[in-house]
Amino acid sequence: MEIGWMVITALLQITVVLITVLLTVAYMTYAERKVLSFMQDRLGPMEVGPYGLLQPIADGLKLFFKEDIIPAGANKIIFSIAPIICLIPALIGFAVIPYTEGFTLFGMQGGVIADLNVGLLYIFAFAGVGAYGVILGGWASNSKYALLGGLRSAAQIISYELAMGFSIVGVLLLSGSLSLVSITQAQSGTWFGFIPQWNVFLQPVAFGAYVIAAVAETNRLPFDMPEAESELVAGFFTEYSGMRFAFFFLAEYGNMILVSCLASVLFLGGYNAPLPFLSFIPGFAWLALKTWALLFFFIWIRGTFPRVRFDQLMKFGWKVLIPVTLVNLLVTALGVYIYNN
Amino acid sequence: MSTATKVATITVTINGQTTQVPKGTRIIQAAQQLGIEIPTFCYHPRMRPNAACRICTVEVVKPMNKMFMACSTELMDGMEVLTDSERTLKDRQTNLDLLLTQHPLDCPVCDKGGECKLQDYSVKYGSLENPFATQRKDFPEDIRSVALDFNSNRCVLCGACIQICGDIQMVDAIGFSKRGFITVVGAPMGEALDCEFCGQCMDVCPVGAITSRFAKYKYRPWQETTTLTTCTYCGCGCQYDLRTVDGEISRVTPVEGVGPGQGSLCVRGHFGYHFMDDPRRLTRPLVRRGDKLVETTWDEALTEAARGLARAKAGGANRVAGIAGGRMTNEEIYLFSRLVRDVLGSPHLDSSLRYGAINGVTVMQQALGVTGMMNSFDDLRRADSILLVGCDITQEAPICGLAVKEAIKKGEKPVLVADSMKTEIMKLGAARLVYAPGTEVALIKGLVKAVVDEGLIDADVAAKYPRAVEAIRAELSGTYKEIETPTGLSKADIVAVARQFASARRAVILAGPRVTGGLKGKSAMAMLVDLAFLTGALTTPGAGVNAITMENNELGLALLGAAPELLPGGRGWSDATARAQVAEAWNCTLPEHAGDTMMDMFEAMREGQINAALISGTDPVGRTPAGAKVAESLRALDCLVVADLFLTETAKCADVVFPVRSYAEMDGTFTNMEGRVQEIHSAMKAPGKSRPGVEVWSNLARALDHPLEYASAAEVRAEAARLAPQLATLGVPNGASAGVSVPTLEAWLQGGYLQTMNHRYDLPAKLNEASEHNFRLYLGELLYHSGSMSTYNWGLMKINAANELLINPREGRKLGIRDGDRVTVTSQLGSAVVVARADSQVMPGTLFFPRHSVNAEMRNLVQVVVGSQEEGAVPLSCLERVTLARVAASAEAGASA
Amino acid sequence: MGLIKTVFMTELLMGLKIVFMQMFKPYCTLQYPHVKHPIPDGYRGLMSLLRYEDGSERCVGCSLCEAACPSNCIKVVSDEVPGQPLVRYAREYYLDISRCVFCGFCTEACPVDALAMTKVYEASVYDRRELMFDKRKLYALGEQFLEDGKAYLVAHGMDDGTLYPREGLGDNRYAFPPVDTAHGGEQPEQIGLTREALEVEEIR
Repeated sequence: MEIGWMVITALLQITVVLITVLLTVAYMTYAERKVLSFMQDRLGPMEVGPYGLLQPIADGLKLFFKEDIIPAGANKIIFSIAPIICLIPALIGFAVIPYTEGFTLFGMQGGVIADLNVGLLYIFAFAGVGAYGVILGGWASNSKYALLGGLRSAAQIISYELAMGFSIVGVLLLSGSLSLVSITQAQSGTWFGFIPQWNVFLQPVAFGAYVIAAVAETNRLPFDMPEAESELVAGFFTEYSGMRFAFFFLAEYGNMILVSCLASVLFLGGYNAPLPFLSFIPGFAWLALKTWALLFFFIWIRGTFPRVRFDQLMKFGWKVLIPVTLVNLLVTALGVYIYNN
Repeated sequence: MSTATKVATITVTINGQTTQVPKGTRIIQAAQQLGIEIPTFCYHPRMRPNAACRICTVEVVKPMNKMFMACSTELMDGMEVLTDSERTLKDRQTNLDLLLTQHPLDCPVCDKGGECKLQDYSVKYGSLENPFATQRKDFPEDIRSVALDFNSNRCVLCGACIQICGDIQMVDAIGFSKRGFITVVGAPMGEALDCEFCGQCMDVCPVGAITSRFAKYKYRPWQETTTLTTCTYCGCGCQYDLRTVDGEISRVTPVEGVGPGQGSLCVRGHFGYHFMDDPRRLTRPLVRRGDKLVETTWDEALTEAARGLARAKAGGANRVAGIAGGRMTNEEIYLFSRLVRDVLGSPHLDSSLRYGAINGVTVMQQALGVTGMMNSFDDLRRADSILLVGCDITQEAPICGLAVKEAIKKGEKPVLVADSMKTEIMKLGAARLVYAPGTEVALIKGLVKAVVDEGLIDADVAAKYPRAVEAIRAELSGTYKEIETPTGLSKADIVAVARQFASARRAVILAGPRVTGGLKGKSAMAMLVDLAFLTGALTTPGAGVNAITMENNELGLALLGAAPELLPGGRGWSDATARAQVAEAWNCTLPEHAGDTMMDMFEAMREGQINAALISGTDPVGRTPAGAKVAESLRALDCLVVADLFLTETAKCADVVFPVRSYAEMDGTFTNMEGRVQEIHSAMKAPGKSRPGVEVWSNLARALDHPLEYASAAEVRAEAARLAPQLATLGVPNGASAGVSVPTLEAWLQGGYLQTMNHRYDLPAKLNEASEHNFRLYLGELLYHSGSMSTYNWGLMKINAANELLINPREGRKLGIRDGDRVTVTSQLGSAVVVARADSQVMPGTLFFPRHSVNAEMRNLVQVVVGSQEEGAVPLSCLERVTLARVAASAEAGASA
Repeated sequence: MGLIKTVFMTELLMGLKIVFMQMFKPYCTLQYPHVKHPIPDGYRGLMSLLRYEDGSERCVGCSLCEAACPSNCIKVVSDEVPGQPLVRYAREYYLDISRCVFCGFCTEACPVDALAMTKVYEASVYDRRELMFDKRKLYALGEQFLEDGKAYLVAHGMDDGTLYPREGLGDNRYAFPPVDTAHGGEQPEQIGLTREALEVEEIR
């Protein structure tokens, strides 16, 4: 009986979260185009719906009705599977993100779909799988551009995953848990009544490293080497069209949202209001606000920075970011050791 | 030119270039030789300088410093001329300014715009600001004439048009009227222009003052593609530029100094270009289905034709006949004759030569070994005396006529004309002998008799060939009475003409269609050869005897043997070695007996001895007198294949009709009356699925399982040239003008001559004089029409529809017939109603009707009298054109007036 | 100082700031199909044929436009007006606008101001054949955009704004616009360009 309720609760939460994520993806594209336009003194989409608000829906429909092309010489099976391999890890990570304070529904605990005690590890594990989708998609396309894009992607993801991992170990040390619920809860409250107890204040370097690595992980400008238009047409999904293309697209934006959510949870207190008197605003709104702020930052840097060269990218990853995060880890460990004793 | 007198050369300097020129050369000619351009409006290389336009002024520095007209000033030894000095340019500019004061500057709507000398010179030498401000001319344009529009506003009054009309065309149809600023060019007394519309004035006009009504606003010169080709109307074979815009003909322009005409064209050449794009042209092959001819594919038509011909061929020997036409190219004729004689194995091949100049051509070949004219047009221009017999040269061969006119200008009234009408040329000639129609034989006999009796025989000839002279003398024992009575001429007139002719050094005889095509035509031609022989014209360079051919490639028919008595190369069928040579070349056998002539063929068709026929490029039903009978014969055929441009009367009788191309749509060559082989070129879009004749006959040969394949017309010509070497060289007359070679002449005198002497000088029987038929109807040639295609030409039909009966004005008045009245003409064969017009050219007792009229009723009034075999080797075929008719004011007389 | 700059990535922050501030500047684009740029009078848009005030065709079919056309896209078939001898007109006039390079040479060649370019630049069609303008279409354009055509001729110095009327011309005559040598190039002021403007042009 309890299992039944558990399933129902889980399904309900999954539905809500999934719809939210997909809508966010949709309007993320809209927002990106709009914001970039504003930054470039343009207006962006204006034709579909008022202020172009229905543009994402039109795009979706368009992609849905596009011809599905599999290039000659492509490995059909892998070519078809790759976008799915890419998309699933991007969506599955949201299962462990606590989107609001705990509540009880049908006697079951809510606020997160699954409060795993290895939540963070789980997300990272799946993120690693997502790289396979990119590599396989690039290889299966039977196209030099796609293959190069895939290879670059593999190298880049592996490099920056390390830095990303190191950057969050500090947070783990502070909160002493891999469960995202616990990490969030550990960040409630304030210091001195006006400084939120967010990890970002304790781990500013880690936060910076995380954001940089996250940009690289999601193949965003200025680190979008795998899909550098001027060199590789569209990178690993050059040969994709229609819904398969849409899957890659969804995966990219899903990943962006996921890493933003994760950053909010790890460093910005998750659903916690920054100050107690603001806690009348529900937690999911805070989470959304922090996530959107980070997403805006993604767009912002896209609008600002030029693409780095591939060797610069690798050099920065290995020679700067990893040492910096390692040093940060050492300092944090020392601090925690001293604080605890 | 061995006979040319030595002319001293002088040394002159033009713009610093020193050159040697013959004495008498004018500045402009020398400059042109050096490639120096001197602007001119009125100068024309074929006319004497007019010095009217004053634009050619150049500066002479030595021996005196003065301005001279380049067109009229003859160079002196040591003269130095500057054509681009400051003074010259200044004068030039002033002259242009003066011309432009009154010019309307309506270049955008002027047909000359783009090739106008005034435009070009204004750009090159003119000034931007004209100091001579005055009122621009504002005369209304004269568009009253049929073919030529006069815009006096644009006229620069250079007078070239008037000069060419008077000096070269010798028509004097236009002149200046009024004085001063209001001087205009046009017909006298401000009348509408009604001349022969040769269009030469339009060609020489440097500006747009005279333009063609037919090409009005149809083209701009820079849009045109120019193709040098050969005119297809008469035997002169003029070369001209056919101009097309996007594959459609815009107009025809002459090329100065090229071809027999040297840049002159006649009305047919200028305005006869409308038949090619006529909507009546055949576009697809036709086959007979019951009573109707229906359109079909080439495959089906060729198969059907081949089946019919093969059936007839299998039915027995010589059951197929072929009739070729004089507007086919040499290549087409060759292939056609090979198709009939080789592939179909029939000797029955004849052509429109039969109702043309066959007698003239064959006599010339037998007697003198010459195919075509002995003399070129250049000889005519230089001749001291020209005797025209039965030849209205200005109508029948207008450009040859211009050569005769040039001779008139040079000598002291040197042209002697004998005809049954008061022709145009007669008005310019010295002596005229106007004889009764149909009495050419008597007239020529009289001339020969006069030469013999008056002791005018050339001394050399008398000494060298006494036997031949005696033989002729023996035939002329009769009295002058038997000549005076039928011809209506007096002895004195005949003797005077004979005397004048015999006394000239370079004496040329031109025999027209009334000699060669008349009754006993072969004898008449032979008598003219005798006349030339006796007066020494055969051996004198530049003198000779010639038969005029009418159709443009009639000589090609003779050259390629498209007549039963002829073989390719112009040799006789009776010539066994020639026959063997042809048989070897074609790998076939040729029977010893020559085939039937056209008239015999029609007879044989009616009797069922010929079952199939091929007819191409001619319309025996529509174009011969008494065509109705020909149609009867053709309908009796099992299979009649016709290839033509239009659905002619003959084609209407056919079982299969092939649409062929006109001369403007294919490549090939024509042979003109001088023997010049000249090219034609494809210039315009061919209608529908029509094919060149060469391709058609090649296809038909393939369908008959006897392939004759050629890559191009040139390849056909190359093959034909092996049998007819005359085809090998282009653009040169046959070169007989130096005189007949002695061996040929002797072979003739000792060989065929005496055998054919018998009966040569017998006069033909008198015409049946029925009392109530008191007029002689004569079907003759008209300048505007040549029978083949001209009547399909709306332009020429507008100028002259060839449907008027001409009557002597006095007799017309007597009978109360006014111009435009409809009259009934009755002969023993029937009657016809036709419009009459008075014309002073027509003699009393005579009626003239165009031979090529579309009016079949009129033609059927005349019977074809086929000459009898009594003339020995002379085959028959004379078109007897004289019959008696009665004119009476018709019931609806005056209705049209 | 340099180290601090590197560590805190101040240049990057500066870039971010500039881009961020740019968001609040007004946009400079045009919502094209809804809002359109004003077109200058000298603009060379679709070709049109003009008529006289009395409705008769200006074109005399002289084919000078055809001769002037560098892309050979004009075809004029001239003829006499049926029933009116000596009146020249274009029986057919074709202009393949898909080949036109909009150089305007034809309008300059035209001696009777029959050709003028409109301000219409939206020539897209679904069927290429519609881009083969015939006489009917060109005259229709001329009627529809008469003002454009007039302004064009004035702007290019080919007309003084009256669109040379037909008054005083005979049936078979036509007007020549007076030659204005001022537009020959020596006096740029007269065609609305100052010396400074010309110099700027040259420097560029």
